[in-house]
Amino acid sequence: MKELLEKIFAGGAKELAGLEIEGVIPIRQALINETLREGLKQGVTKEIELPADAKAPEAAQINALLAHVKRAEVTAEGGKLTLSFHVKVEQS
Amino acid sequence: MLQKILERELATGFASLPGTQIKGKLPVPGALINQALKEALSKKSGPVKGVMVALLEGNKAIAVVALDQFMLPKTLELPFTIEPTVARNGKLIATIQLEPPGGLVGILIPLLAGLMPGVTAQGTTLSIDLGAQLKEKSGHDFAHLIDRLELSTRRGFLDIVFSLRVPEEAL
Repeated sequence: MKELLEKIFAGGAKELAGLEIEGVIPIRQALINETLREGLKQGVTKEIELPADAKAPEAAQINALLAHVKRAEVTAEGGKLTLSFHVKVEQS
Repeated sequence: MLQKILERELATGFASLPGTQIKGKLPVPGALINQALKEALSKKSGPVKGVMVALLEGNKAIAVVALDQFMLPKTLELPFTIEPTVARNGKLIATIQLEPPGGLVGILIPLLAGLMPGVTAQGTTLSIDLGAQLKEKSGHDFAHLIDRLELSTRRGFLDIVFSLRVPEEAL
């Protein structure tokens, strides 16, 4: 299945035409600060950098989905950062 | 550790992300389903040696089942209908209604279907506890966060419509 998924994403996820995901994720300030603290402790770049090798399956899947992001917005209010997004794979 | 924060969020049902709402539609190619079935069956022993599913319009499908069981044919074609609603009362149960052939085969097929991983059979109605399978694979229980999960089919695809919500108050 992993191979099949890799193949689908390598082809730009065209087989998934019609896929649509939208959402709102409110992230509390405390969680952001905790994540930053922990990241700095261990060296952020080690863990959050995308795989440098463009052929890595994870990078290909992330890139394939990023190509279909229609909207991504961040707002900050009252100690909370809210990420809203819309991903849609159009029919070709 | 960042990994620890992620693990904590998974274990607490994303308690630090109250108010999160995600909804969407996922078209799943039949080839992906058949590959998943193949991999699941390869880890199990029993009379069911293989299953291929052909997805049709209107929540109809046909399963081609390869068997190795005395008195039963080597392959069977079983038409079935998929119940659209999966998310109910905090559980994720996919239900399919078999249209079994008559005679001995008709009696044995629901029993054999019940031998498939994660499937329970009651007569010709098969139930697949997707929440339990998700928990088994991920180690975490997400079923209660999913308030809508509906299935529909078209030729070659299973379409999943879902919405999930993390309650405003931390769990």
